[in-house]
Parts: sequence; C-alpha cells; structure tokens
Amino acid sequence: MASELDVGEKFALDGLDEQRHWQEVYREIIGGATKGSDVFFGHSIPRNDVLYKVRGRAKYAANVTMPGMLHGVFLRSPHPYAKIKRVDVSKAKTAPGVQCVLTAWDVREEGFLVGSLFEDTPVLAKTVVRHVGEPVVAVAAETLAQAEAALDLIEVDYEPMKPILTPQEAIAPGAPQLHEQGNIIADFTKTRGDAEAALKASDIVVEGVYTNDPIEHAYLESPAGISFWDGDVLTLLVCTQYPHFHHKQLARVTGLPMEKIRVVQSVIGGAFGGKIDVTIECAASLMTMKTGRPVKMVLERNEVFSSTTKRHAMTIRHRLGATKDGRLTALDMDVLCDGGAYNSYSLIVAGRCIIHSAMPYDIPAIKTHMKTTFTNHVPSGAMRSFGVIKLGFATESQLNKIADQLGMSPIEIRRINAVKSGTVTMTGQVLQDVGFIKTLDALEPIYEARRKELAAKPQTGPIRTGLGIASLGYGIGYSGVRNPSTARIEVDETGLVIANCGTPDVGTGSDMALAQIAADAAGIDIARIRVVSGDSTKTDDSGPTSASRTTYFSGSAARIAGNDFNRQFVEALAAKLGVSKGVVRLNDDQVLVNNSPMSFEEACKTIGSATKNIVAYGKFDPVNQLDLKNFEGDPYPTYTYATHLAEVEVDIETGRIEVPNYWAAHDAGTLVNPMGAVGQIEGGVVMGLGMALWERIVRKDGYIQNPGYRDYLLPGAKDTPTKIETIFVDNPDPTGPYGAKGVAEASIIPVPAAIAAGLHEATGVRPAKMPMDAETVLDLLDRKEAAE
Amino acid sequence: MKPPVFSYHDPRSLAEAVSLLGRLENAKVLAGGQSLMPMLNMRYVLPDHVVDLGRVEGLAYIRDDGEAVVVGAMTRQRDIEFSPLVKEKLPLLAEAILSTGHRQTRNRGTIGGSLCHLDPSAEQVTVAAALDATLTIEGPRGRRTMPFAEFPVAFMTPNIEPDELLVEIRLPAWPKGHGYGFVEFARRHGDFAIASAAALLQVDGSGKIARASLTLGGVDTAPLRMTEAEELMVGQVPDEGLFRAAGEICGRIEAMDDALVPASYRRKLAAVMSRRALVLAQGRVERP
Repeated sequence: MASELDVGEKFALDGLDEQRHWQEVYREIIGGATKGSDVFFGHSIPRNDVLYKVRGRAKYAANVTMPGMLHGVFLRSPHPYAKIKRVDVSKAKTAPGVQCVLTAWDVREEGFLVGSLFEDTPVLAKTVVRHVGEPVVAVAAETLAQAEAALDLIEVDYEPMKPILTPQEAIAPGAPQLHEQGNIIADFTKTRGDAEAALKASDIVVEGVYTNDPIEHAYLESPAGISFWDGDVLTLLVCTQYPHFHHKQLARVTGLPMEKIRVVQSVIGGAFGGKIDVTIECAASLMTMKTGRPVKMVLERNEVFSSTTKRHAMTIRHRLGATKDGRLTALDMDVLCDGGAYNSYSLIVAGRCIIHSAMPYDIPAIKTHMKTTFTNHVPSGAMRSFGVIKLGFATESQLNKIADQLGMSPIEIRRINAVKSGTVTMTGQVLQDVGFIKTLDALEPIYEARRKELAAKPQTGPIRTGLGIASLGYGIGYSGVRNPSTARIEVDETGLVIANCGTPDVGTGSDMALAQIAADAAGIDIARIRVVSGDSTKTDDSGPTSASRTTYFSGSAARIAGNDFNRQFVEALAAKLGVSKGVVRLNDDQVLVNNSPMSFEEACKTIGSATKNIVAYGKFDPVNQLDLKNFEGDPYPTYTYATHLAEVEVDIETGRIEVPNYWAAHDAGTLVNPMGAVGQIEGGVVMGLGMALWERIVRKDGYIQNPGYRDYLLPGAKDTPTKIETIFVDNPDPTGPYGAKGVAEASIIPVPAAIAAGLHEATGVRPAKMPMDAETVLDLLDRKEAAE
Repeated sequence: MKPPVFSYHDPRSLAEAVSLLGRLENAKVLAGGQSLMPMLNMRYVLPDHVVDLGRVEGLAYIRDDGEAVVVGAMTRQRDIEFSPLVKEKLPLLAEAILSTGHRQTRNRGTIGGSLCHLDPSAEQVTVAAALDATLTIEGPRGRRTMPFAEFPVAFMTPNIEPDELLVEIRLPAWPKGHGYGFVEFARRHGDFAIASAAALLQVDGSGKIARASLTLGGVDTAPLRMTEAEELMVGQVPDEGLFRAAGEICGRIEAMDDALVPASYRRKLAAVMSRRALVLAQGRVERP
C-alpha cells in the first residue's frame, strides 16, 4: 500500500499494473486528439480519469477496504438547539463489535474546535448542539451494522431551547446569542458616491426584493474517507477539495507533528464547494489513533442533507436607478443572509458578494450592505459562485426591468453599462482585458434571429414562449488576499515526469489542464506527465480548488515550473555530456545535442541519477490586496465574463417551465482544453437550471423536510435543454497561462435571471424568488389575471 | 443504504405462497420490487421475511374475457405496455402505463404490486378506479372478489389481510369507439405525479355523452372518482364549456397538503388535468 502512495496515486485502480494498462490506452487517445499539432494547450484532450470512471474501475474512498478496517458512524443531534445534559456511552462501548466510542471528552482541548476560516465548530458537541444533524458521538465497530446498532444504545439527555430560525430573529433585540462572537457573522457596507441622491435624481428607479431557498451541492459521492497508520504516519484518504487544510487541522486536533500526518485526496465524485469543510476527517483520524486500526466513514445521503453545508438563503432588497437613455445611475442593495449554525465560509461569501455588487456594470453611485447571521440551521458555506448567483438574479432581473420599461433591448442596455478595459470598479481597481462586450456581440445576432423565429410562430394552447438575457462578471481567485499556487516538476531515469501541483482535481479535469500547460512549457509529451495533486505531503499548500482559481493560479505555476524544468533538464544533460548548454535543446519531446537528435528516454538515462537534482519549481502569486474594511483595492488579478440567452416555455395553466434551448457566450480567456471548458459551461447551466426551477431545501422548525433525492428535485436528463450552445469569445488574458483564465463557477450565475427574463417575456410575470417552481409561477399568473 | 436483515422466501406455487404468508410473522410480499426495494433500503419498512412471488407459476397473464380483460397480478408493466389486447380493449391503461416509472422499472414492476402498494400517484391505481376493476384475492380462507372502490382503506393501505394475496385484476372494457385520456403533472419528467386524471367517455348516436368516468390520482390518499362531474356530463353534448365545468368541480376537492406541495396547488392542477383528460378523451371518441 505504501509503495502505491509513494508514487502519488489516489487508490484510483487496483494497483500499478492496472494503471500502466490505462496509461497505454490513454497514450493513443492523446495522439488522436492532438494530431498534427506540436502543442497540447488548446486541444480537447479527454481526461485520463474518465477512462476508468466510466468503466466503473475508479476506487472512491467508500470502495477502499483494508485489513482490520473498522466502520465509523456518527450519532447526531435530533434538536435544532439544545443543551447537552448528559452523554452515556457505557452500553454502546460493550456492544458487539464496537472498538471505539468517541465523545467530546476524548478530544484534546487544543483540538476541540475546528473550522475552515474560524475554529468554532466542535469535533463532537459537548455542552450544546446548534443544529439538527450536528455530530455528538462517533462509534467505530467491526461492521457497519454493529456500529449502527451501537448508536441506539447511546443515551443523550438534551434540554431543548427555542431555536433561531431566521436572520431577522437572530438580530432581534433580546435574541439568545448562539456564539461568543454574538449572532453576527458578517456586517459589511460599501459606498461609492451618494447613492441616495443619485437615485432621487434618476429618471427611473426599480425596486425589488429577491429571495431564495437554501440548496444542496448534490455531488454524486457522499463525503467519505479512511484513516490509517502508514508506519508511524497518520494517513487520511478522503474526498476533499483541500487536503492541506485537513493536514494542518489534524496536527492540532491529534497533537501529532506535521511530518507524522498525511492527507491524500481520494478519487472524488463532485464537490462544488461542499467538500471544503470538515465532515469525517477528525473523527475518523481520532478513532484510528485510539484503536490503531483503519477507520472508514461514509456519510449516508440523509446525513449529507442534514449535516453538510448548504447554499445561503438570502433576502436581497434592491433598488436600481437609470437615466431615460438607459445609463445606470445608482444601486442600493441590502442583503440579509442566513449563515446557519457555524461560520464555515460565510464571511468569504459576504465579502465576495459586496465586491460583486455592481458586476459586470459600471455604476457611479453605490450603497451596498450585507449582514450574515448565525441561525440554528445547518451551516451555510461555500458553493459554486460564493453567493454571487443570488446577486445576479437580483441585479440582472432589475436591469431587465429597466430595459423593458424604457423599451430597450436587454443587450443594448448591457452594452451601455458594461465594464470595459480601463473601467474603475467600486473598489478602485482598473479593469484590464475585459471581454464582456464581446459576449454581448456574440449573442446579439442569435437573440435577434431567434426572436424573429418565435414571433412568427403562433402561440396557441397553454404554452407561451419567451427569450431572456442575463450576464455576469466574476473575479478569479480568493477575494482580496494573496493566494499563491505552486508546482514542482521532477523526472526519473526512465523518463517518467511527475508534476506535483498544489490544487487537487475535484472532478473538473484540472489535472489534465495542468498537464497540458506543463507539457508545453517543458517541451515534452503530455503522456510522460503524471500530475500528482491533492497530496498534502507532495506539494506546497496552494490553497483549495475553489474560486475558479486552478487554471489561472495553478496553471500559471505549472507554466513557470515547466519552463524551469526545460532549463534545468538542458543544463543537466549539457553538464553530463560536457557540452555547452547552448547546444542542447528540448522541444516537442525531442532532445537535440549539437543538432543531433536523442530521445527523451535516452537523455534521461544519460543524465542518470543526476535526474534527482532536477527539481523544477513554479510559483504564481499575483499581488492582490483589498482593504476588507473599506473594500478598497484590487481584489482579483482578473475576471471572467459571460452573457446567457434562455428560451423559456411556460404552461400557463400549470406554471411549469421548460427550457428547450440555451446559449452561453463566455469570455474565459484562451481555452486550455475546449472540451473541458464546454463541459464546465454545460454543467453550470444545468446546475443553475436546478436552482432556478426545482431545487430547494424545505425547512420547518429547524428540520429539513426533504433529506433525499426523492423530494429534493435535481434536474434529470429529460429536464435539461435539448440544446446548450456554448460560445467562447476570443479574448486572451495576458496575465494567465497562455492567455487562459478561470471559467468553472461562472456559468451558473446568470441562469436563474435569464430564465426569469424569458418567463417575463412569455407571460408578463416577474418572479423574485428561487426556485421559480410551478406553483410559484402559477400563483403569479393567477394574481396577474386577477389584477387585470 | 442497504436493506435491513430479513429472511428471503421464493415459493413456486400460489398455495405455497399463501401458506408461507399464513405462517410467517411480519412478512412483506415482493412483487417486482420497484417500490419495496427502495423502501427496504431507506428502512421505511423493516420486515423479518420477504416472500418473493417472482417464481410463483401462473400469476402472469393477460386474457380476453369478452367484456373485460383479466390480468394476472404478477404481470409485468412492460408486458401490459406491449399487449395488443390491452391496446385494443383498454386503451386508457395502455396510455397510462407509459407514465409508470421508467422503461427499466416497468420491466420488473407488476400491476398487482402497484395496486397493493397503493401509492395514490400510481397510474395503475388510478386506472383501476377509473375502469371499476374487480380484484380477486386469495388467502387461507379461500378466494374472494372485491370491487376496486372498496380496496383502499387509508393512505397506502389496501383492504387485504397479511396472509392474503392479490392474484387477479378484472378490468371491464368500454365499448369500441369510446374516448379515453390519461394526463398527469409532475414537476420533472418521470416523477411521481402530483396530480393525474383519467377520463373515459362514451357518446351515443345523438352526440350526447352516454357514460362518463373521471378519476383523479395523486391529489388525495386514494384515487377519487368524480361522480358529481360524471353526472354533470352524462346526457350533455360535450364541449369545452362542459369540460371546464367538470374541471371546476375537480378544483373544489379536499386535496392533500404537505410541506412539498400545498393543497391549493393540487386543487388547481386537479381542475386543469381533469379538463385536459376530458378534452383528450373527447378527441378520440369514434361516433357510432
């Protein structure tokens, strides 16, 4: 087992022999995808992981078994808010098969509280539970059935208290304080000019209150992991977006020194921000330390619903002013946000939302305020777009309202107000290489042509059709703090090249993109490169895979490391051959020494054991600083932009919406892997469609009413558009690797607003709440009819 | 999740199955398993024994009985879907079965299993009510028959003893040329219906409705035969206004109310679905 781990594999397959087989298969596929080209960048190279994933050969953490392995489960809080009076585990400890019963009293004081941004979440609850589903006791037993049976033998006395269920309740005078810091997680204000005066002076002002229900990340794979001793190193194989975070945290929780811990990312079945916080990591590791045995924990789907983070529910009060020729004058936005029981990523969500208040428009006067509070709901956390999808729903809907009232095209009003290269944002950043207007230009002819086609179709029966437009601008990377990425490239005597990249692939195909960039920069064949990512001992901490940052940040690091590799390789070969480095070249996987060719393998063999000295390194660390108090500065090195067009069909008798056709025009810089980028866009559109039309966590008195996929409605294949057409505009970003920038999160942002706009064009009603489910839409239609 | 521990029995004859059910405590009948297996996995049911009817001889058939079509309880939904006899004599069932689950589940799911599971959203349940089916039930005390209207006693609770088995369903055929229509509403493609409607219309030589059947599914704990609407239509010349009036009656039912679907929305859907089913049925009437 140790040897497999040493080559940085993720237990993906049954051993190295099987891996070599796939490498061979894969080599041919790459050859086909890049035929006739001498670069890998910009080609639709299929990801190597799909080969074994579609054949069912991928080994997820839940599939891993080890000799002597125990199964771990949690006992969870049945109350939204309660004092713990007593925990009695004596019966469970002697139950058949039980090897470990872990309570809060078994966790050392220094490691009792954990958390992504703030250490505020108990590994196991001790004195109080703050949401239904909070872990209270963990049990490890020889079989899963024995562990589950033991849970029934644990006695916990709770004293239930009145829960806080809304942010309004949390900020009400006299409200109980859920944490030492009070009930406020974030309270940010940013102003630019005098928004109130500018609104008064505006020719037109539209108002709206926009709300949404919390939603679930709905990754296919439940959080899962297995902890074990690998010699004297406590090793955790876990599906996570951020192994380095868990590594550091486990050092504190366990008391072990950093070098005695290793966290390796398993093959991961989706994340979307939902695998960035703590779930099973601490409990499993502590139980391995107590028993000396491997402990596997896999969350049940109902546990995923009841205990993992959700997308924030927000109430957005929005006023937007414009002149009568469509020029935006002022924005006043006030957001109240349900952060749930613990901090998680709420602060970052709030910060990003403030920064994105006006995006992607140039608005001279702005007042924006956001308050996030604790409640006794399951914590809200990171999720694709960090909250910006909800601002997008509000701002884009408001802008469409203004366009309608002024009789302007939704494209034209965006063009008038679009940020451009040279625009100074509300934080004072001068934007560069902005491709937003190009996305409008790309969609306009499609929009106009489709309008004409639809207008020519008679609307009979209960179905009405409409088109809707919405746009986005989204910052790449962390908000306003330095977040470097690094890469290290090594080679051995046989010619195997290992690229150790800091940010793990969470199912997006980023390992492939990084390999493409590194191969081109190093001048070698991509098939030689094995990307090792997501291993806390193989790479520097390069932050999590989140915030659409991997291609831009880690890609840049991989490019620098690749160039460095080329230089070091040439120098090492020249030294070995005793020639001047000026006569040695490595290009297109060809080594030339004094113009006579040599294969890469031959060159590696020649360098021999000195290949060990080739340690190429790349670090990308753009200077981004934002004063988080006044929101002044340059929060992101670059931004991605897009405009979407949705064709909406509404059954006016049932309120049911279908979206038969969809177009998405994106400025993602130059594409590293077009097939991967299209996949990101299509996935984002479908995910956005889910949030727009069906998905909602239904809560009552602090309990989730639909903790499973029977009642939590994700779009199925037949519910998605027949056609999603993705258009990438030509807009290289000179600061990104070969002109690339991020694209991952952005594609979800405009979807709900585009659908809402299409619904309005079709029927004249304007929803302000997500999801726009059938009864909501029918209710709006009925009220409109009653009013007429 | 995995199912709880249970003993599995696979009798080969009806007599053996009935005797097992008489003998075993806390047993569940497996008749295709498209609902039972997920329920076991979710631990909604915790039986000590599962009696699988999959290998019992002689329970899967579709027979012409002149005035009715007689279907064995273990007949797979996919066989009903492809039966020329069902298509000819029970076009309503042929239409509704296409909305039952998915192709894959119809390969395993049986009509008897669906009727005994008695999900109010189930298409076969609604159709059995619409067609005034008669059920044959076998148990240690012998065979008995029961009109379908007496079968549901509460939400998902059939009028059948733990040691009895549904063995046959008799579905009366309407005269050739009758109109039929089955429509349903689900939030997503393939979901359980929030509301469905089954309509049957027979029109006489003068163009008036001679006989009408209108049934709502999914809106209440059991299918609702809308006799008031049926009576309203009989003797009338069918038109949009009549069907709208029938729909309005359906919109006044006491519908189920839960956290996921409010009763008010179910009522609105009941009105729309019933009208659409009637319009569809009327369009298919072949005048004598």
